[in-house]
Order: sequence, then C-alpha cells, then structure tokens
Amino acid sequence: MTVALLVMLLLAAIGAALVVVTTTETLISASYRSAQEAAHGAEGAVERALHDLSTTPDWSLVLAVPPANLVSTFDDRTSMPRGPDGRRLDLAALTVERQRDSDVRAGPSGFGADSPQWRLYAHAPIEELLPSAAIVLPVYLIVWVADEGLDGDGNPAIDSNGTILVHAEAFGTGGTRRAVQASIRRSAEGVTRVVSWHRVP
Amino acid sequence: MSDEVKKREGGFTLIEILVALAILTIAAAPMLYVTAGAQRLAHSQSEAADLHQRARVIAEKIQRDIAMAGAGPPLDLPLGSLSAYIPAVIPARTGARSPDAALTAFDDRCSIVYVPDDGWSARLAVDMPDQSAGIAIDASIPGCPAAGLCGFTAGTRALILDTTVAGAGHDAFSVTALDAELAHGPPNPPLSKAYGAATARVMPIVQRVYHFDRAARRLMLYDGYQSDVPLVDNVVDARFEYFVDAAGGVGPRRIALTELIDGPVAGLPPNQFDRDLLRIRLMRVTLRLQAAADDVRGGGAWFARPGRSTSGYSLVPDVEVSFDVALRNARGGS
Repeated sequence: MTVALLVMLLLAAIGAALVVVTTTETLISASYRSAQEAAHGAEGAVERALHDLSTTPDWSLVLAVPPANLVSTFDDRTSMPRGPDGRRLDLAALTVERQRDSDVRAGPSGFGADSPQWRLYAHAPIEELLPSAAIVLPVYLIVWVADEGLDGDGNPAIDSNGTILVHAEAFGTGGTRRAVQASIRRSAEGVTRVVSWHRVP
Repeated sequence: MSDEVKKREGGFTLIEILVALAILTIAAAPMLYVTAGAQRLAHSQSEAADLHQRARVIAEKIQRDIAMAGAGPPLDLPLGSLSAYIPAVIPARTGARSPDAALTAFDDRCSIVYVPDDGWSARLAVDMPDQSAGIAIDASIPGCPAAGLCGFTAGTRALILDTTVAGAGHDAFSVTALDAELAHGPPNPPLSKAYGAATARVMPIVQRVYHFDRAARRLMLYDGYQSDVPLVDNVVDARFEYFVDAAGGVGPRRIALTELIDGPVAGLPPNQFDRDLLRIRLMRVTLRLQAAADDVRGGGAWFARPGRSTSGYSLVPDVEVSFDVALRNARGGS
C-alpha cells in the first residue's frame, strides 16, 4: 500500500513536470507564431502602402496636416479599432507615441524644422489585404508616413525631394507588436524604390 | 509474562521478512518500470523542447539579419541601399580576424552587412591624404547625432564607402580612437584606399558573419572585429544557398558558388568581389540540430550522430530547418 502510494506520488510529480514542459512549449510556440504573423503583417502593410503611394502623384498630399492629408484606401474607417487580443487601439494615442519615438532619434535637435512629423496613413485588419477569407490571421495593421529630415525645405508637410518614410506596425495576439520602417524614393522616371528597409526592434 | 504476550512482542521471523520482501519486490517491479518509462519520457520531452527552442531562436535571428542585409541609412546614399554598391551577403568570412581571401566562396558561412535602423551617414570634412590617415567627419550636417563625433564613438563598427559607382571602394572598420577624426588603426586592416570628401560616406554598420564550426558542432557568430562566439550548440549541419532573378523574371534561380567567384570582379583589394553577388535576391538557409543529450538520440537516418538510446520512450530525432529569406533591400540596388 505504502509503495503504491509512493509510486503514485512519483508518477504524479513526473506527470506534472511533463504538463509544465508541454504547456510552456505550447505557449512559446504560440508566441513565436504570433510574432511571425505580426512581422509578416507589418511587411505586407508596407507593401500595401507602397502600392498606394506609387499611384499618388505628389507625396505632399499624404504629408499635409490632418485632416487635409490624403490617406490610403486601406482604411477601415474607425478611430478606435479593436485589436486581435480584444483591446482597443487608440489610433490618435498611437500616432502621438510614434511621433515621440521618432523625436528621440530624428527630432528637432537633429533636423530642426525638417524633423519628421508622422501622419496616420492606413489602418485595417490584415484580412483586407488577403485575397480571400480562407486564411484568417488575428493581426491589425497601422501605417504612418512622414517626410524625411534631410530635404532642407523646412517644412515636414511638403515632400521636396521625392523621398519619404513609411512606418508600419502590426498588432497580434497576446500583445505581440512588430514594426517595419522603410524610406522610399521616387526616381525621375516615376519609379518608386525602397531606399532602406528595416525591422524595427 | 504470559506466553501470548511473549509471542506478540517477539517480532518477525527471518522467513516472514523474506517472504514480505519478495511480495513487495514483485508488486513494486511493474510500478518502477512504469515510473522509469515516465522519467525517460519527461527527460526526452525536455530535450525536444530545448531542441525546438534553439531552432526557433537561430531561425529568427538569421532570418532577421538576411532580411535587412544591404540596408543603407534611411537617407543620403545617392543610389539607395548599400546593396547598390557592395554585396549585402558574401559566402565567406569577412572581417579583421582570419578573413577568407577575396573571391572565395563556401556554403557553410555567410557574411551580412547592413546599417542599423537608427543608423545615419556622415560625410568627410576633407579628403583623406592617404589610406592610413584618420577620417575627418563633417559633424555640421543635419542629422548628425550629438554623441561622439557625429554619433561615432570608440568601438563603433563602421563602413566607409565610395558612392561613385558599385565597387568604387569600401572598407569596414571599428573606430579605435576618437579625437577630431575617426582612427582606424590595428587590429583593423589598412583601408583599401584614401577616400575623397566629395563621394565618400561613413556610416555605422552591423556586420554578422555566421559560420559553422563542424568540429565543435556549433554555429558561430563573428562581428567582423573581435567577438567570435558560439550562437547555438549541437548544430550538425549548416548550409547557405543563394538565388538571383532568373532570366525573363520567372522566379528566383539558384546560383552556384562557383558562379559567385568567377568574375567579373569589382572593388579594390582586399575587398574585391564578384559582381554576381550584387544580383542576389534570396537566400536559403538549412540548419540541422540535434538533441544535446546522447541518451535521447538513437541510430538511423533520423540522427546525424547516433546516440545510445534504444527506447522508443526517449528518442528525439534531429530537427532540420530550412527557410528562404528575400533580401528586402536588394530592390533598391542598381
């Protein structure tokens, strides 16, 4: 009887350890998958924005002070969309946060009046990027654009050198958040090219 | 004391104890067998989880670096990304310590270079009088970070680049000292040339050299200067393959390593490179990892290095991870 109880106790301990290992593994896998989905979502958002921007004749239109700025057709027309994890995404607050982060690196201290001023350009669930509803991914995408700081025109609402910055963020489940930032340039022939493309930490 | 009391307090006989032990052993044996199996299972699950986690970590890291390969500073490169001037990926070890010779290629190593997302580029204040001279930076241009000399401090890994055309000259170095100029003395190799202020740009870079140490079964990460450290243990194979745009724009075409060293050649010694490297658009990385403990590895094709497990409870096969990554910054190239 005593031996049986001891063995049962040992088996229970081993079982519990196995449950912990497999549960942790499941959580890590889910987190990894969510991060991958969000990272690819952010890239997709940049591509979508590039497509729209390449058809916009003058990028100053998208840099104008809101509400006069032109926005993408990738727009679900909400100001407080619900993220994949159920939380509300306050687009105005996120835009302020984007500006604050940008100012740390490329603020007025470095670029003066040319420092980038970010405009909300596109936002919608990733489903609106996908050709069919066959794949459902819990990712919400937001894209901002800004004039880069070296054009020397002293006005961040005017693109005077055919180069702007695009910043896309993807919000996934479990608080996952991934960002991609690109600077793009339009050549004299009208071809839009990526000057730099970075995943932002 | 009565006989009955004496008998009750007299304890067990040897025969009784032996019989009890025999019964106990017979009853406990299957339970111990089950327990041992569960223990092996728990051990192998822990090893499997560790194996998968190592695979995820390394795949994520390499994927990120390849995706950003060739990224230039957000602005101020006339032709766009770095990959318009220099190879974003090289199938060889580059850097200050034990570099492979120029125009050599290996499938178990890969060098990647890019400007970090918070990077910038600086111009030279004056022409360099000779290639060993310090690099005078014009810190007055907009966007120069305030720290150090236009953001450069001792230890910054940097690239100096002639932006005239692809292959006009480039050198990676670590800033060894800082006064009015960027010093680039030993252990940095000498620069390939003296750069002119009109066309040269200097920028901070991230340099990653992934190389497979087959003997130690490790994937190593070298930063191009002093740090060469193991990134992941128990790697039994690592291969890097390269793809370029196929003629007619029909999908990517795998390019053999021999095509990446047969010319035409660009650049200046010792940083010469095959121009085909500028055409690389995609990389395929294949990694094979094994469980760390040999008591969860068995024999057969599932295991690159056989272990000593014979039980189905405790077999953790090798994991092979293969993934393709497009070089996002290659699109801005020439």
